[in-house]
Order: sequence, then structure tokens, then C-alpha cells
Amino acid sequence: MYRINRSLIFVVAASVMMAASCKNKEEDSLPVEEFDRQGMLNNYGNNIILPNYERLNNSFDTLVSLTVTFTATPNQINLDNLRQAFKSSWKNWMHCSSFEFGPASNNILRQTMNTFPADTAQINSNISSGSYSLATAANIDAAGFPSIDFLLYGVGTNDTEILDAYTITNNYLNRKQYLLDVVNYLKSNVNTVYVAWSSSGGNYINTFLNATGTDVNSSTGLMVNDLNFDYEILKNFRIGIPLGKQTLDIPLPEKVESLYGKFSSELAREHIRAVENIYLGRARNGVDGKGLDEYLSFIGANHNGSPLNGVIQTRFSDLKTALDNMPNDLADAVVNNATPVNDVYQKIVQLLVLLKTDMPSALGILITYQDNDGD
Amino acid sequence: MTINKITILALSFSLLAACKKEPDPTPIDEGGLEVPSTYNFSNVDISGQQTRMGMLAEMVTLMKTGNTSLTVVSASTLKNMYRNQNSPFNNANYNSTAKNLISKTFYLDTTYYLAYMDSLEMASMSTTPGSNGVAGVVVSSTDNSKKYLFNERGVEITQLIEKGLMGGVFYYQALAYYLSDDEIGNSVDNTTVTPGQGTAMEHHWDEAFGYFGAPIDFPTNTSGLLYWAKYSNTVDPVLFINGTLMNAFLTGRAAISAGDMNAKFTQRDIIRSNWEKVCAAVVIHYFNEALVNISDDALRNHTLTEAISFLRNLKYSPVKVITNSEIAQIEAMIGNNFYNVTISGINNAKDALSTIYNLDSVKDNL
Repeated sequence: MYRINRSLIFVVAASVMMAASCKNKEEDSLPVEEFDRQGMLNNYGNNIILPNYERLNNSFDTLVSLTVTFTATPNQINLDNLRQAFKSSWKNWMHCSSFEFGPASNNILRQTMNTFPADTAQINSNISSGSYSLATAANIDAAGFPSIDFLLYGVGTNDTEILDAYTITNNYLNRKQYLLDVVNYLKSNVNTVYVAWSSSGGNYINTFLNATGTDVNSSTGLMVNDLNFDYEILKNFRIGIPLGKQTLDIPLPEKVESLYGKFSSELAREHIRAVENIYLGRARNGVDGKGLDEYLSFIGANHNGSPLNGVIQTRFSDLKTALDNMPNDLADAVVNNATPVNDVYQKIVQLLVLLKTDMPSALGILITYQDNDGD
Repeated sequence: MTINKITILALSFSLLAACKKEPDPTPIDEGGLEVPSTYNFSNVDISGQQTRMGMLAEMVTLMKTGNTSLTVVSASTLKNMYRNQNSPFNNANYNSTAKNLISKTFYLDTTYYLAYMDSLEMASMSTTPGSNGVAGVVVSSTDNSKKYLFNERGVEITQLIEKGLMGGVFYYQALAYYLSDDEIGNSVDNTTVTPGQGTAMEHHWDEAFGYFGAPIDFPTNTSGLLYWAKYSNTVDPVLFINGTLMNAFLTGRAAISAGDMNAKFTQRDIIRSNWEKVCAAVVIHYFNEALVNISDDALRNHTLTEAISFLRNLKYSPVKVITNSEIAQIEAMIGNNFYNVTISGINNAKDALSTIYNLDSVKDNL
């Protein structure tokens, strides 16, 4: 089907070009039988990317204000409220992490926000010295969400000890300041990127909407590349490495994303929801606009004789089922109950082949990022 | 089976060639695939592997200075070499590259190798000859040109590091990393050609070949063999395994370039199982050497350390035949003091391993 359609398009395009040679110039660029990429990008830019950044940005307002409250009065209620806001912001980040191009890429936002595991030795040394610049490379794993995870859940063995760490334990004043600094630092990074996207700020949205081609710097090209890059972070860092996929099946529970708050599995589920939304062109409010799914259907892309879009959606659904069956405490599961985690990993890989190979080749997009290889 | 097929094919080609006039490039035909006879594909870059093998060679040269008594081997220099920091190498190209051995070592074992370097320095500070309970240099009782530095339990730490890194870096990287589905599976890019390196899939396959340490015209050419290729050649007279491995590398690479994904996986499996077989056979080879030299402290301890190092290396394959607990059991048969090892202990270890690898019929010839 795909081949036939392509040649049809070619024949049509060729006749149009021949016809166009007798007509006015303006009509040369009339897209014939072309997928409405501009419309798709409009959906992605205005209904997904911008609102997702906006929501993340707003959630940081709450996070900062609750951090101020907690550090002013460190008690259980304020800790609980802060933790809730923190988890919510972290989940909101899952819906932005795939857009590491343009402003996010300029600010290295993904690594800034969420390099894990956190370097607790570095965090503690920053706290005890009270002198640090969070923007330096050495602090990249001492200043992201995983660091807040440590600061809110890991600085004591129970909540009493954790509250002590902000009221009486050595360096508690510095620790409060560090928590505030980290939260504010992340907020300012998010805000920078959000403003750079918005039409009233850097207006990258305009650039995004108008790079309608399929070359490496087109918006579709960037988005498909980064969707895959981010998806591979799920495969390798969220699941694979803790599961022991890079250590001959010896699990590394200490490598999970939320080591202290113990909601790594929830984050993984949120991340796959985000990836699926992007694939479908679906906003977080559930409104499903024009996306990669329509694009693949439009060009009639197939996988082993079935419509590629259908196969991808089935695999998303299989993966989500597997994720639902994955225990919440991922660090414990990779050691004591690895089967459901392995199942998730297999499902991730099965979908990866389609997202990274079949989809880009059907769309004529090059995957240009390099696997982390070194040689 | 494979060997037979190849032999027959090669034979028929040479017969054909005899009727022709032009020089025969002897391609091997594997089910329609054009497979060249040497690893002379376009866009092959294995410089990263060669660099790391060269780095290890410099480390070994330094470590072996400890075989001369009263020569202290600096652990900090060795660690600098392992990490490639502070320009520790004679070869300036190694110093200027960002590559190093430690980042490619099986992640969980890097601490062991670093600790061995400290132990080696400690042993090299001994001012007395080595003996049971005393670290130091021991001279062979049968060939006084051979002498080795052992710790107080007769372990030659230099071998633990050299042979260990052959496993923990080269073997592990090739079998578990580059030949994994992540690196050569069907989702890996086999379309975009990077000049000099080929596609990502081709490059990963080449990197696995690079760690094998063979020249491109192996096994016709067996000079200049490095590390694993050298050991493959050691056990080849018994196992006839050089050709099996080389042909799998050649066929798999040709399959990738031709887009034949099934053939690629078949050859990947052949490489993994036969490379593992080389490793197991080398262990048995060194057990045999230890038995022959059972009363020569220097040679026995030296060969036993080699055997134990290769035995441990078996764990680095993701599809290994042996289990980790079997490795530990066999190691326990030898014990942790090579001065106290017994003939029956070595024989038991050798028999256990040869049974696991189906090498019983050739175990005494290795």
C-alpha cells in the first residue's frame, strides 16, 4: 500500500509540476495529496507543547511557595503538602521531557531537570559547605528532581528524622537553603524555556510551526528524534539499568529514578502516557488532534501487512498493561519480583522498533542522534 | 557442521577457481550472501578497540616489571592508566584520547580491578622471595628464566588484572554489549552511513570484531594476534575454532550490509557460543599446564592464576552455558591458596568444566 501511494503521489506531483510550468509561479507550491504537517505541528505546538510547559511552569509556582512554607515551618503537614506538589511537578515534567530541541536543548533542560541517580555525596558536601553554583557540570546530578527526592524522602530513615534534618540536625539551616535553591533553580530553568517558547516571549512556537519539512531541522524531524531519544531513556535508565540489562541481569536497585520517594513506577507510567499522547497528538485534557498516528495512516504505512499505526497503538496498549502490573516499588521489584519488570522491558523494546525504525522510515525522517557509544 | 559446509564450499570454490584464469577472491556463498574472505569491508573503524588493547598492553608491561624482585609497581600509575588520566602512557595518542578502559569495564567489577592494583603494589614491595604465606617473586625450578610475582597465596595479580580485563572489557563489550539487541538488533540504524564507520549496526558489529583482536585476514594470517585471537589460536589445533569464529564475523557483517537480519542473528549466536567455548577451553588448557607443572611453584601458580582468570571471564557472556554458581564451585575446587592446591582438586575442576562445555573428549589434548 505504502509503495503504491508513494508512487501515486509521485505521479500526481509530477503531473502537477508539468502542468504548473504553464501556469503562474504561485501555484507551484500547491501541496497535492500531502499530509497537512502544518496542521499537525499546530496541534503539537499549541495544544500539547506550550500547554505542557505552561502546566509545568505553573506547578513550579506552587512547588516554590510550598517549599518556602516548609522551610519556614518544617512540620509534617507542610512536608506532606510539599511532597505532593513535588510529585505533581515531577509528573508534569514527564510531559515535557520529550521536547529537548530549540529552547530546551539550548538550556540542556532534560539533564538539568532529571539526571539520576542523584549524587548524594555531592549534595551533602554542597550543604555542609554552603557554597555552590548549581549551574556547574559537577552539580548536574545534585540539583534535579532526583535531588529533591533525596532531600524530601532520603535525609532520614523516617519522617521524624527527615523533619529533624530541617530543624535540629547538623547543617539544617544550610539544608533548608539548599532545598530552596534547588527548587528555585529548576523553576528558573523551566521558566526560561517556557518563555522562550511562548509567542509573547522568544516566540519559538513560531519557528516550530513554520519548519514544516521533514529534514533533520524540521519540527517533525526534531520531534520524532527526540521522542525516540526520550523513549530510550525510559528503556535504559528508568527500567533497563535497574533491572540489570547492562550488568548481565544483576539488578542495580540503587539506580531507579525515585530511589527515596519510591514512586519510580508511577513516573514510568506517566512518562509512557506522555509518549503515547505525543504519538497520538493528544493533549493532556484528552482532546485528540492531528498527530503522528494520522500521518502514518494518511501515507498508508504498513508493518508486516498491517497498518503501522494500528500495530503501534496495540503495542502502546500492551505496554501500558504491563506497566500497570509492575509493582510500585521498582527498586524492590527488580530484586525480588523481576518478572513483571522484565515484561515491561520486553514491551518497551517491541514498541521501540516501530517508533525508531518503522515510523521514521515511513515518514522519511532520519534518526540522527547517536547511541551512547563512545567509540 | 558449519566447518564442514565451509570446507566443502571453499573446496568447490577452489576447484572452480582452478578452471578460471583470474585471481580468485574466494568469496564464501552463504545462502546467497556474498561473503568476502577477509574483513576488508568498507567503512570499518575499530580504532577504539585497538586503542584499548594497546592501553592494556602498556599496563601489562608495567605490571610485569614486578616480576623482577625489588621493583615496586606503582598502583597509582596503574590506576592512571586504567582511567587514562595524568598522561600515563608512553604512546602519546593514548594520552590524548578520551577513551579509557575503566568506562568500558563491566560496571560492577571496576572496584575489584582497582583493588587488585593496590594488592599488586603491596606484593611488589616484598623484599624476600615468595613462598607459601609470603608475597614475592618466585623463580621456576625447571626453567630459571621464568619468574613471577605472587601474593602470599600464590596468586599472580598481574594475571588477574590482564586476563580479567580481557574478560571484563573485551569479551564483555563484544558479547554482552556490541552483539546485544540494543546495538545490532533490528531497531538499530542500518541506513545512515557515517563515512569511515558505516551504519550504526555495521559499526557495532565491527567493534565486536575489533575486540576479538584478529587481523583482517585471520586465520590465514596468524601473526600479530592480540588477546582473544591469540587464545583462539592456542586452542585451535584441538577445536578448529579460528575459522568458525572468523567466518561468523565475516558472514554476519556481510549479512548486515545486505540487510539480511536473520543471518545476522544466526552469526551472532555462533560468535557468542564459540567465543565462550574458546574461553572455557583456555581454562582447561591452563589446568593441564598446572598439572604438568604441579611441583614447580612458579609455573603452577602462574598457570593456575591464568585458569582462574579465564574461568571468571565466563560470567561476562549474557548467554553463557555455565552458571555463576558453577563458576564459584569450580573455583572452590582449586581453593584460594595455590600453594596448597591438590592434583585431585585441579582434576575435579577440569572435569566439571569439560562436562559443562561438552569438551570431555578433548580435555586432555587442550
